[in-house]
Amino acid sequence: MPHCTHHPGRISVAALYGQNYCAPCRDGIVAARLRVDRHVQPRDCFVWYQAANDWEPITGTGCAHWVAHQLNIRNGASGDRCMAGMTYRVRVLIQGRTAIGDINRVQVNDIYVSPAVDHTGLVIGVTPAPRPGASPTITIQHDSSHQHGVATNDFAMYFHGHGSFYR
Amino acid sequence: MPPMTPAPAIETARGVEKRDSRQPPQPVALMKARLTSLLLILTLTGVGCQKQKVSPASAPTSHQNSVVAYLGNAERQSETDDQRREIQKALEDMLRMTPSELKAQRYADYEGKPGAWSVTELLKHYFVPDPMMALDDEQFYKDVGAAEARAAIQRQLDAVKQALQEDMPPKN
Repeated sequence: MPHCTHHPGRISVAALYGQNYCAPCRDGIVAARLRVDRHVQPRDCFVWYQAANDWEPITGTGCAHWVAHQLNIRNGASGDRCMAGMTYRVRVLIQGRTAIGDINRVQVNDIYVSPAVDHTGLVIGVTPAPRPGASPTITIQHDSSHQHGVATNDFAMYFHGHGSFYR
Repeated sequence: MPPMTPAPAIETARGVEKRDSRQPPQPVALMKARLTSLLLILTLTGVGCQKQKVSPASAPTSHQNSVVAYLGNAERQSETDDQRREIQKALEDMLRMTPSELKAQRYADYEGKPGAWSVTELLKHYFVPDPMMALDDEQFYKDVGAAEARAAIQRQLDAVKQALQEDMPPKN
């Protein structure tokens, strides 16, 4: 008999992301999802169980969460991951990855991180530098709180050419 | 996203009932002795009083300052310098305003729309506490003036100021 992940004394009425939930949890999850910021993608898993049947949206912008879903990154403990098991902290996202020192070595699917490690995105396009000494054109996709959703921006323009890349 | 799907609870529950009904009857004295032993073990080990670890949630203990618990080890997530400047403004207000003044203050949202968020809403939109915890608004205003809270606020303020300096576009 499946029981609720959070309330072992209650019978499960819903299964989500491999976990079982009782009726109050199911209702709390549904209500919390409605309060997740509209730019967050994906949004259904961006909630967490607080206490006493109360579910809340995960805090922060969700930038790392989106990258984690794209690359299936599940770093960290349960307190670092969404309901689907994906990491939602930038610093935890890049744990175990190597910084790319030479911008000319950046590739698609490398992770972009802002200089202050407070925003992240995914490299989706690289056009090699046209001549020696020039910089490649790097296109970054990211869950943008400022642009209302997942956006595609040029590294040199939108991010001022600042930040690091990890693989 | 995967939709919620009903779990097969009823069928499974029936199965358990059937299995229980097949158990041979036991003497009442033996059942009582087993129950007493179980209660004794639960009492000695404290198992019966423990809350199961059910989530990454961590509420601050009664003596812990909620501002320190929320901001002390939090990761700031911010995308633009406008957002960082709004965070800086809020943190500075937390250091200089009275709780009632702070409660009345409003800040721009992610897109720069002014007057959208209270200070606690701003913190929830930009900071990810570690461990994850809920920020109680009323407790926040009680705790924000404490010395340890001010120290935690100052550390986040220093960090966001540093971020603004690091992200300055190159001068021509």
